[in-house]
Amino acid sequence: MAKTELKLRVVIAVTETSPVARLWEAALRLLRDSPADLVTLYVEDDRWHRVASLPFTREISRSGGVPVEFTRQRAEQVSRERAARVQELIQKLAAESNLKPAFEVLGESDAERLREFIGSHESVLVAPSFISTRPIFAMLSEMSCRIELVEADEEEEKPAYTLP
Amino acid sequence: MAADAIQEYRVQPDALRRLCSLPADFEHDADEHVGTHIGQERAIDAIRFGIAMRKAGYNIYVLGPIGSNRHALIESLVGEEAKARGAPPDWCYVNNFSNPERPHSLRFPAGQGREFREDMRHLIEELQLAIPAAFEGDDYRNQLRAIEEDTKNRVEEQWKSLNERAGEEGIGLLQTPTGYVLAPIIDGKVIDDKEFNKLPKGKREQIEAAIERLSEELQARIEMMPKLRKAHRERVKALDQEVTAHAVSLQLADLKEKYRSLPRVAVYLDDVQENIIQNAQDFQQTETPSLPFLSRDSEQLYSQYEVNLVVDNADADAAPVIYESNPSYPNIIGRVEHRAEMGALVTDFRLVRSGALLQANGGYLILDTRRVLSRPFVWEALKQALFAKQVQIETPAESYGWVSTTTLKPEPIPLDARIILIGERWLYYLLCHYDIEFSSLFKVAADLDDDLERSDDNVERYARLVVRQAQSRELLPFNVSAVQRVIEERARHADDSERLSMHMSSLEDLIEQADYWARERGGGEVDAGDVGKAVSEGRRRLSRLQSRIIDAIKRDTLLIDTSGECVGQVNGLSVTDLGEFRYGHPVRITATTRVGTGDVVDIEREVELGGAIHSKGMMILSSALSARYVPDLPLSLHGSVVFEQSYGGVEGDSASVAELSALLSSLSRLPVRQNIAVTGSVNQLGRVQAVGGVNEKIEGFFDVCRARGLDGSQGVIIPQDNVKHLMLREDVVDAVKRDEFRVFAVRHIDAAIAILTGVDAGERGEDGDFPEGSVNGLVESQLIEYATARKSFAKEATKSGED
Repeated sequence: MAKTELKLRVVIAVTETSPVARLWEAALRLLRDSPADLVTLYVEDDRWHRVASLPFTREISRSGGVPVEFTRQRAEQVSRERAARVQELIQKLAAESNLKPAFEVLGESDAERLREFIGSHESVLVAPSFISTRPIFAMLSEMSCRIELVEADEEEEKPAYTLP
Repeated sequence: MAADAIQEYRVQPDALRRLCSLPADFEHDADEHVGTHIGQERAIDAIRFGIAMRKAGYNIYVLGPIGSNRHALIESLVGEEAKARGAPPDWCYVNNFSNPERPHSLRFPAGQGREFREDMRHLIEELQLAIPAAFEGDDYRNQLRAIEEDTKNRVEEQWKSLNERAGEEGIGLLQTPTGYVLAPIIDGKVIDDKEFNKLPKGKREQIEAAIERLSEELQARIEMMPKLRKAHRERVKALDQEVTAHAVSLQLADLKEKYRSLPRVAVYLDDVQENIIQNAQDFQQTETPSLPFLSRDSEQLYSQYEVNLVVDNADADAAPVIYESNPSYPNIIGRVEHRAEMGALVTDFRLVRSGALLQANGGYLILDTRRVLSRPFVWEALKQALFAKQVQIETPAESYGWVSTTTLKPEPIPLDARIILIGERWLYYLLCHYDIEFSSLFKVAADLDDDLERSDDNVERYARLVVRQAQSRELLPFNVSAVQRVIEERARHADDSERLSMHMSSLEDLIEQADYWARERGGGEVDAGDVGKAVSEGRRRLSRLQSRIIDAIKRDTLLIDTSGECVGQVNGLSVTDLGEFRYGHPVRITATTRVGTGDVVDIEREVELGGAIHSKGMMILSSALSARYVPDLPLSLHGSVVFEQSYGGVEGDSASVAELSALLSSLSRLPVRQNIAVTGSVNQLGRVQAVGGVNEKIEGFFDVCRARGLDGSQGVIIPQDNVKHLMLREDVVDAVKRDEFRVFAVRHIDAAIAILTGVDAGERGEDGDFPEGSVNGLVESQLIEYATARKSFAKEATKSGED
C-alpha cells in the first residue's frame, strides 16, 4: 500500500494493554469502505519510567525469590518488550489480511510527532475507548481528526496468576 | 618252486569278486516298509531309548560319518515320538511395568499364546477408543470444569484480595513480563519521584510502609501458588484415574475371567490395569507435540501392552522337531534386537527373539556337532542352558560380563528339550576326553554302523532299499541285474565282500548316476551296465593323478619293473587316499645287506618320512630275522631298506612282507621276480597278516601291467586273510579268468618268498638246518658268514689292541 498516493489514513492507536484484535477489526472495516493508508501508532505508557524513578520500587519475580530493584533501564526494557509484543500481534493480524502497516512508537506527550502522523492527512483514528482518559486524547481532539473509539476496559491486564 | 606248487596259492576268479545273486523270487516292487536304516538296530535302539527317556542329561549323540543318512534316521525316529508327545506350551514375553528391563515370560497351553496376543491387541484397540471417549464425555468434562473453576476461584480470590488491599492503601499492582511492581497511585496514575517528593513526609512513609508490607504479602502468595497448582493437578489426576479405571475395568473383566486359570497371566492383567490407571493422563488425546521426542506417542503408549509371542505352537499337533542348520549363538539362544530411534539404538520386550532352543522346547533339537563347535560361544551356551534347564536370552558379551551398558534381560524360560547332536566319531571321543561335562549331558551314544553283514536276508533288504531309493527319486526302474550290481559295488565300498556299506549318500550318488547313463543310452530301465558305467566314469573323473603315475612308470620316470628278476628289489604296493577316491600303485622297495651288528636301518624313518606304524613294522622285521635264523649266533647283519623314489611320508605296515622279502633276497642272493607285486604285514613269527586297501593295490599293479601289456606271468601276492575283502573290478577278474593276471594269497612269509624267487623257502629239518639251496638255507648261511666275519674282525681288533 503506497501511503503517499492515498489521501485517507487510518491510524490505529494502541497502548500496551489495548484490545488489539478488536481495534484491528475496526480498522479493517474502515478500509473496506474506502482505500486508505494504514498506520499503527503505539502510544508508549510512561508509568514504567515513573515508577522506576521511585527509589524504593522493587520487582518481585513471578517465580518467587528476592525482590530486585526496578531501575530505569529495567523500565525501558519492559516498555520495549511491551511495544514489541504489540507489534508482533499487529504483524500477525496484518499477515492474515495480507497488509503491511507501518508501526510507529510514540511518547504520550510527543505532540510534534503526533501531528506529523495525523495532521497532514485526512485521518481516521481507531483507538480504545479508555484513551479518552489519557493526556494524548486532548491533543488528538485538537487535530480535528475523526476518532473511532472501540469499547475496552482500561488497563485490561491478564490475570496475575493463570491456572497450571 | 615248481609252477604247480605256486598254483596252490592262486586265488580262484570266483573269490576275486563275490557276485550278488538275488533269489529267484525277489520282489521287484518297492517295499514301503523298508527304511534307509537297515542294519542299524543298535543305534536305533539307542536313539529310541534317548528320546523316550524323560530324565535330565539323556541327550543323544549320534556317531556316524557324513553321508550315513543320520539326519533322515533321526528325524524319522524322533518324528514318531514327537507325535505321541503332543504340542508343547506357547511362550510369550510381556512388559514388566515395574522394571521394563526385565520382561516377564508367560506360559500358555499350545495355541492360547496366539489367542492371548490377539486378545491383548483387541484390548488395545478398544482402549484406544474407550479411554479417549471417556475423557471426552460430558461427565468428565463437567467434573474437570468444576475442579478448574474451583482452582481458578481460589487463585482469583488470592489475587483479588491482594488487589483490593493494595487499592485501599493507594498502591497499584503492575505486571512486568516476568513479575510484579508495586507503585503508589494518586488520582488513578502512577506517580514519579518528583510527585512523590512533593508529598508530606508522613504520607511518603505511609506509602513506603504499605509497599513494604504488600511486597511481603505478594511474595507469600506467589509462594503459595505452586501448592495450589499441585493440589489442582492431583485432583485432576484422581479424576482421570477414576474415569480410566472405569473404562479399563469394563474392558479387562472378560479377559481376566478367560485367563483365570493361568495365575501369572491373571497377575499380568492386574498389572496392565494398574499401569493404565496410573498413567491415565497419557491416554487423553492431546495435540501433537511440536517435536516427536517431547511426548510419548500414541503407538508407544499402547505398544507397552502388546504381547511378544516367542514360541507359537498354535498350528502344531506334535512336539517340535527342529533342525538348526546354522547353529550360531543367536540362532540357538535367541537375541534382543534393537531399532534406531533419533540416532540411538533402543529396544524393549517386543524385540526379544527366540532361538532354536525355545522353538524346540518340549520337543527335540537336532544339531550338527561340528557346526556347533565351530560357532563361537555356542557350545558353552548350550551346556549352560542344559545345566540350568532354562534359556536366558542374552548376548554373549552379557553372558561373559563384557558389557556394562543397560539392556534387556528377559526372564529365563524353563527348558525341556532333548538335544540330539550328530557328528563324527572322533568328535564324540574328543568331547568325552576333553570336556568333563559332556558325558553327563549326553548320556546316550547312538553309534551307526558303517556297514552290515552280507547275509541273504540283508542282501534282499538292501535290494529292496535300492529299488525304493530309485522310485522315491523318480529314477528309471532298476532291473535285477542292476540291483545286483549295485549291491556288489556296496560291498566294494565297504572294502569287504562279506559286508555292505551303509553309507547312504554314496549309494544315492551311484543310483542317480546309473540312472543318468541309462537315460544317456536311451534305455527304459537301469541295467548292470549302467551301474558299471557310473562306477567307471566316477573313477575316471577322479583318476588324473593315478593316470600320471602310470604314465610315469611307463616312461621309466618312476622305476618299476614288471618283468625280469632282481636281487634285493621287490614291488611293494601303496594306496593313495584322495578322500572321494583311492587308488593303488606299485612302489619299488630295495634292501641291501652286509656284515654288521644286527640292525636293520629304515631309511624312511631316518629321514623322518616314515610314520610310527611303519617304523614298528621295520622293527618287527629285525625281530623276525633274529627269531628265525642263526639262533645260536648273534645277528651280525647290517641291512637297510628304502622305498625308492618316494618323496612323501610312508605310513602303515602293509609293506613289511615286501620289505622282508627284499632283505631275504639280498641275504640269499636269490633274484626276485619283478612281475609280482606284494602286500601284507608280517609278524615276528613270519605270519602274513591282513592289510587295508587290498582291492586298490591289486588293481593298481594290474593297471600298470596292463599299460605295459599283460603276459600272464604278472600278479599280486596278498595275505590269505584279505581274500574275504576282495571285490575287484570286473576287468581284473576277467583278466584272471583269461589267465592274463594272477592273485596269490599266502599265510606265511615262506610262501611269499617262494613265489617271488621261484625257490622253495625250506623248513628247518630234524638236524636243525634248512635244506641246502632253499631260500632260508641260503639266508642262514649268509648270516653265519656274517657272524664268522664279525667274530674274526673282533679277534683282530682285540689282538691289535693288545699289540
